[in-house]
Amino acid sequence: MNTLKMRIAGFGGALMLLAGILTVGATPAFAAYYYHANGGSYWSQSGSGWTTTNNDGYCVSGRGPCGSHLWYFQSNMNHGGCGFDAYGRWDMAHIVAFNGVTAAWIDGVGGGTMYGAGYGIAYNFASGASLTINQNNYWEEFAPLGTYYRTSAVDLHDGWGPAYACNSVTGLRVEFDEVRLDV
Amino acid sequence: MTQTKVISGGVLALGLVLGAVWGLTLTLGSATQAQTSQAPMSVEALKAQIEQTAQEELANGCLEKNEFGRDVFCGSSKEKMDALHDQIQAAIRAETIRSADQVEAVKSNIREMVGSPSLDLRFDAAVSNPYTEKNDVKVEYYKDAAGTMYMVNPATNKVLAFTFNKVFQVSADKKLSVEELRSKADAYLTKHVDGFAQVKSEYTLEEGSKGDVHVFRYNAPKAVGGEDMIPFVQVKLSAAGELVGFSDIRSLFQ
Repeated sequence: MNTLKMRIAGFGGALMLLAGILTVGATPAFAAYYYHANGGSYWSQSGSGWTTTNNDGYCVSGRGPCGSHLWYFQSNMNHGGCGFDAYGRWDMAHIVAFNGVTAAWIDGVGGGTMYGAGYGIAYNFASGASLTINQNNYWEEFAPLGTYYRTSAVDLHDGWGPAYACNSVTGLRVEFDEVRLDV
Repeated sequence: MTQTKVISGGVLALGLVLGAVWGLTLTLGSATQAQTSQAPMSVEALKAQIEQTAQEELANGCLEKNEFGRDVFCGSSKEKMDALHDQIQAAIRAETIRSADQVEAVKSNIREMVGSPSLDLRFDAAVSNPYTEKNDVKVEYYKDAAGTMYMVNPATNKVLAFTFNKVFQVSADKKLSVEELRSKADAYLTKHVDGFAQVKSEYTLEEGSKGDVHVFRYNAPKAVGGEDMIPFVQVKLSAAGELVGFSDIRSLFQ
């Protein structure tokens, strides 16, 4: 097995890449992962009502590739009814022509409680998937969002995902933290 | 609090080049194969087909804004690109799936973990695992009809993690005490986690809850293998004792 690793960190380590070419027998396989931090190089957000929880989330002191200025996660209380008030987006810095699994870090204490979090995945040049993820069921772990070819972005808003469209329930916390793409 | 930073482009480009060289090699080989057989299109041939079709549809096809303001395919453009995506997913699965015996072993382990002998499962993907940064441990994902993704270690065929997406809301008369939940968690982990007695004696138990979901998590004393992530074992139960999710990621660090 020949393994080639590269580790790429932007200024402050907002994104990290490890890419390896693994050769097992005659079948080569590509392996790589990419972190995208909330607040990092490829993150953008819109709307108001954001809460920042310092030194918590995936990137904290002693864990993760981020610089100390990214040791926090963000959250927003959910929007009731149709639509949304705020959103965050993680654009993939490195769009690769491989199948990849995207996963979002969800915290424990103080983390996401939104059981109908509305995620979007952009993939396959301009295909889009809308997902409903129950953040309340995760605890200090990565929640897999889905498997897509050529993933280019992950979006999340503070409204209800398609499984609960226009739900009037409010008072739930939507968590925005690191997103990882594994190929 | 938006911050913008620039990634070190030169080093990033190195990764792109390596991937591109490898991809180009396979593309050339696959193109030759496609000319000489009627076999289903290879992954590399499908990549080329997707690239070509996407460029055509982006230039002349149907695009609309989705709820996040992104341009997405619509109408016949969406149909074409969705079909190609289905094809390449199937082709990649066919290239990466292991032997039927191994797949059945994985499915059997998943079914046992969730207590559902007839659970319908299919292999979904083989990719890097989400928890290590230095150790190249590929994992597999299997998916059930409800969309639950089960992460599996192909080296052991054992389940690494899964979480159900359904909502667990428990009426007051069905709620168990924390002691009862702890007992159920202990019984589940004893049954499904190799060497759980050692885990209990060496790891630190963390208990918590979000609404009607309770977690019983055992954290290793420290990170290992040069990794940042501390290995853990956990089970999540509803307030009524229903299984919500499970993780045992220790084998990723060995």
